[in-house]
Amino acid sequence: MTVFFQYLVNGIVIGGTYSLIGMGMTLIFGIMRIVNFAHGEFYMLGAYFLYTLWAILGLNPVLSMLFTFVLILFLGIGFEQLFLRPLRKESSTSSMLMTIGFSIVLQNAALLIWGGATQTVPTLVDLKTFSIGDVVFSTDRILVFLISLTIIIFTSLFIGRTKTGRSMRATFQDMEAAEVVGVNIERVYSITFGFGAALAAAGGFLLAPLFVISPTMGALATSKAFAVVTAGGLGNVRGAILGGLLLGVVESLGAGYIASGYKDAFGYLIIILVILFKPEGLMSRKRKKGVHA
Amino acid sequence: MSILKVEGVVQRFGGLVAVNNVGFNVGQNEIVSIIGPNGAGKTTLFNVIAGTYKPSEGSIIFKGKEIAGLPAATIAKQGLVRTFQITSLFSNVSVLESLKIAQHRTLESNLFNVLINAPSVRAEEQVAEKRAYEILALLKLENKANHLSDSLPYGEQRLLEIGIALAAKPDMLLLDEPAAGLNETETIELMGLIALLRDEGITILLVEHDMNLVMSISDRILVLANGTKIAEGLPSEIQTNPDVIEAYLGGDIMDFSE
Amino acid sequence: MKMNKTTTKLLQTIPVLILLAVPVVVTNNYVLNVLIMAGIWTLLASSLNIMIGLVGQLSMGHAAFYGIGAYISGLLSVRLGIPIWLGMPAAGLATTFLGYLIGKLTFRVRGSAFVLVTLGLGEVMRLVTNNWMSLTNGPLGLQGISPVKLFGVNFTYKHYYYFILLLVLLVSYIIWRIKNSRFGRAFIAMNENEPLANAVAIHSERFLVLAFMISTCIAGIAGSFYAHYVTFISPDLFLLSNTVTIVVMVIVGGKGTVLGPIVGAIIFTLLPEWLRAIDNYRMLIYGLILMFSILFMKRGIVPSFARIIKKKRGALHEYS
Repeated sequence: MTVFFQYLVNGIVIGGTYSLIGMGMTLIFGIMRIVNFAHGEFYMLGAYFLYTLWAILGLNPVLSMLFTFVLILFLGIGFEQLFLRPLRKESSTSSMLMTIGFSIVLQNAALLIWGGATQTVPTLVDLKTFSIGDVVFSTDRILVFLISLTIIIFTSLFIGRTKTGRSMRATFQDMEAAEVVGVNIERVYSITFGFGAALAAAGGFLLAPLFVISPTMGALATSKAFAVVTAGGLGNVRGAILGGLLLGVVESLGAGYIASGYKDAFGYLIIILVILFKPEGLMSRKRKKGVHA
Repeated sequence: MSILKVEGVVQRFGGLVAVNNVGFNVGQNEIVSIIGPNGAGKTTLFNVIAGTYKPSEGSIIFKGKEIAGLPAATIAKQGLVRTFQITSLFSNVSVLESLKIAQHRTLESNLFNVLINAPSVRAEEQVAEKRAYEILALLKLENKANHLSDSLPYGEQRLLEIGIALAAKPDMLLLDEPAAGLNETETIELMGLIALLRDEGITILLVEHDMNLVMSISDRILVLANGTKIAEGLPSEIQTNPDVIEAYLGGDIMDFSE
Repeated sequence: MKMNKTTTKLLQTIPVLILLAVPVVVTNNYVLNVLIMAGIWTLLASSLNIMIGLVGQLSMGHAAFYGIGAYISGLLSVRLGIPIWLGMPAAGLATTFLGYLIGKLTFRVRGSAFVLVTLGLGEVMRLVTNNWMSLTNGPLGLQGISPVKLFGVNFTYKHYYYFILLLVLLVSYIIWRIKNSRFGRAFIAMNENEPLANAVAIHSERFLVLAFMISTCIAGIAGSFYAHYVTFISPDLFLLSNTVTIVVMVIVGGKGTVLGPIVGAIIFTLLPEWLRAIDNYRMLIYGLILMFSILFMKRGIVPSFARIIKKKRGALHEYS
């Protein structure tokens, strides 16, 4: 039983960062109606920016994270304005292909800049462990979970309480109606994409100290983000938060009890099962979805 | 003999009743119009008949068979073909090709015969091409055969829509506001076309706002208000029906956009 | 533009004759190998074109069907000694069936769900072939697949060339026939306007599944050919970058046309051969090409060229 709880705790800690990544993707899908295939690459960049700013340039880690968040935010906004905006009138397939193109570019640019070898990022705090019962906790993982939680709460407040957040929700519910009442749709799209990308980057810089990082780590993150948002219901923010925790726990338990080689397949298993049996997502009670914050 | 029999149809969306217990018959080769104020449930009723929605209650019998709740394509396959309120075309396809696409219902060649280009397939393609040109002639669009549908002026696009429905060789046509946005000359041409279709043996049910058109070509008229049928009869009867006048003038013309 | 029949026939026959004559002139095995690989990519691009170009659904797991075809054929050969002549039909049938299943299950939800499921399939297959050591030999790959042999003749590069050329011509012919039939028209109708397609009795779901089955069947056959040609396969076949390469070929070549994917496949097989010196930049360049062709050359090379030629002949009205 102890082992079970240990897996559960590990799963929840990792799951918190999956929630972040998933929230970012679900915001983009919910508002812009496109699946962002470059999502994992923003995650990868989050990890590498932290690595560069902190591990190489020696900047303060907290500042490094803030910088990374803002830089990716603007990268996302720039990409949206230059490459997605001209495709607004095309089918969503064009936009999806564009994000696929961008993901290839980012991944290979990263390969050229940082090289193909894996890198490690030092832990955020001195590594200490303590235990409650027989379940072991380590300080660095607890910290990662707390930061994830903070960003999740911050994001919820942003969507729920700010003017921009209101515009986003209005656009989500009815784009045309929102435009009629004076919401600047172009602006909402840009901010949504940038913010979604920055959330993915946050997932990246939080997980970076726990695992090794490599330029190709994005593809797997994209697929995990897919799993999270599919489970939570495409466009459902609260669903994405729970979906992230679910994926973290399922992976942890699956790797522990079934087979660790297949750890990364559980996400796909979730995608396929959910799409087949509950395409509107696990969390939805009604068919109608909304941005819950 | 009636070709379409609608009985006790109810359509609810959540708590909202868009169509409430509506029933009527359409006889073979009749032209029947459905009118009513905005939000009366006309288009919803249309969508229920054409299979876009599955009715909450009621039955719809077409040519003696229950069609309520069947997929739209299955209903079309049985010969009940609709047009759309907002112009709906195969935009990036030529006019001629659109009319060939629409003949899907009557084409039967199987994949194997297509691959070996069997004589039966070639014959079928020739018939399809010929029929497409016949329809073009009927619509007076012969010289636009190779134009993209998107590039036609609005009036011709609306004509092409009817042409597409016609290419499917329907027994019955559902026309959803065919005159919307047309000028007077175009509307008169449209009336001629509808009359011509009836002469070819096609039964027509239409939703329309243009009262001139409705009054002059309909055999019978059905009036909906707030989702319920409030009157049914000859054009002359409808024009003097006090309930109808009330619905249009004094009634609550609430618009919960269809 | 009206061309008379003889001109059209000539325009179709001459390239085929040239292609047939290649091995007579070219005896360099390196060149033949590149051409054979171009043939395999052509099959893949043509098959994906049915989805992207005709019915308008993005399949991001196309490499999965390619890989599954390769593994079925390869395993049949290595484990049971079955030659390609049975292995290839088996691979084609299996991927067709898989296409049927996936199509049936996912087209209810369409669009992004289809993208996600096909993408997931590729990744799951890569994990399975990597981890199921006893069957697939895992990441080490499957070696010793029997080369092709017919009537006692062991295939050389020349034979493989003719074999893949035959497959390419056959597949192109099939797609051309389908495209110009009621089936192809139904595909295009769904892509253009699904409610209207339904209104004229086209069952979109049925035709989506059919299109997907044809598409996956061709991919499986390409995989089978690859397995017996290279005689070694590994889980890398399932890599997303393979699917991406196929997508780039279709988009840049010209989706929806018969010739477009062929042109795309040839360009993107030859390009890396010429650009060996900057191989590190290859995927980066592919990505940029994809992004900029979506922005500035939406139709792809073939339709754009066709347009220019038509313009010159003064038959602009057809596209105006």
